[in-house]
Amino acid sequence: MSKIFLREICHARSGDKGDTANIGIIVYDMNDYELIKNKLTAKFVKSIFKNFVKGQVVRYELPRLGALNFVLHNALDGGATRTLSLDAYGKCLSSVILSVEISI
Amino acid sequence: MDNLGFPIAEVAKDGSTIITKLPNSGGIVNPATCAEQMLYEVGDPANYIHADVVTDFTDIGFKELKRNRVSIIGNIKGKEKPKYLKVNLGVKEGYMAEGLIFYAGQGAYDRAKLAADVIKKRLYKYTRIKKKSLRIDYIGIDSIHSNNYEVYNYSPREIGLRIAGRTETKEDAWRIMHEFETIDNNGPAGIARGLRKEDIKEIIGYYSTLIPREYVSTSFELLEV
Repeated sequence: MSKIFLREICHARSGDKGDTANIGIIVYDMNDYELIKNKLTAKFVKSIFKNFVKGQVVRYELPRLGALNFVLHNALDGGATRTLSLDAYGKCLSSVILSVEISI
Repeated sequence: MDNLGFPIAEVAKDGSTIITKLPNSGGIVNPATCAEQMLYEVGDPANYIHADVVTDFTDIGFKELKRNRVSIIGNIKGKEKPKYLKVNLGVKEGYMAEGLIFYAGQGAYDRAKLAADVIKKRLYKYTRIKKKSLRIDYIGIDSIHSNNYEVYNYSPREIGLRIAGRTETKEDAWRIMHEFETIDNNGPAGIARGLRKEDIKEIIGYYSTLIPREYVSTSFELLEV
């Protein structure tokens, strides 16, 4: 078993809606879709952001796109107008998650 | 990327759509960029709520026809428009302010931590700011990651210390910035401050709720200029 950074097989984009953040993760190669479906559970994603995501993490699947969309509730310290975070809109969350290592 | 083209959607009578951009503009329109844009700020893709329709994007796909021409494929469904509309209420919730300084060289992180400790103690002593409304970031270490995934055991060659706080009064917000003025000569030596001009920001907290759409009446007015 070896480890790879998620960034080697996926690209991603994240953003905000109020105090909710979302991260869309898309595979470059459809053959990797099953792998990320198995590895990137809502629980796993919550564990990565556990220090500031206070609410639930919900996962949605878009099979034709080869994508997973994660919705992170109560994730942005009250949202862009209130937060003290530098990443007020959660746009860096995509880069953070792509730097996670997974075993293959 | 220094001359980005705006995306253009060519929508045919039958609803089929091609995403493209002007020739000679920068950037790229391909299935990967379309997929990222598609997922941007989306919640449940089976129920993307607009005022006029609820869309189900679950089966969406993108097919590259040629360079910078992408066709939208898949079975995209529309559902009945929502019975409720969203209303945002903006509420004045006080103020916020931040300060930023930098340290360099070996021990930079330790000096930043000491400076943070000095500022923190003084703010707790001289203002009504509480621990939960103060945020300390070490830029280059944990300002985005919040030390959430792994603890980094490394000291960067240069580091930014940022302290931001939410306050009830303008005076306390001003005090945060003032501490960054005085730490220059009253804290760990070797501070860089740059040209940054901090300012106090008023916080408008947003609260969202739903109201039955029949309570909303719309009208328009044309103004000559």
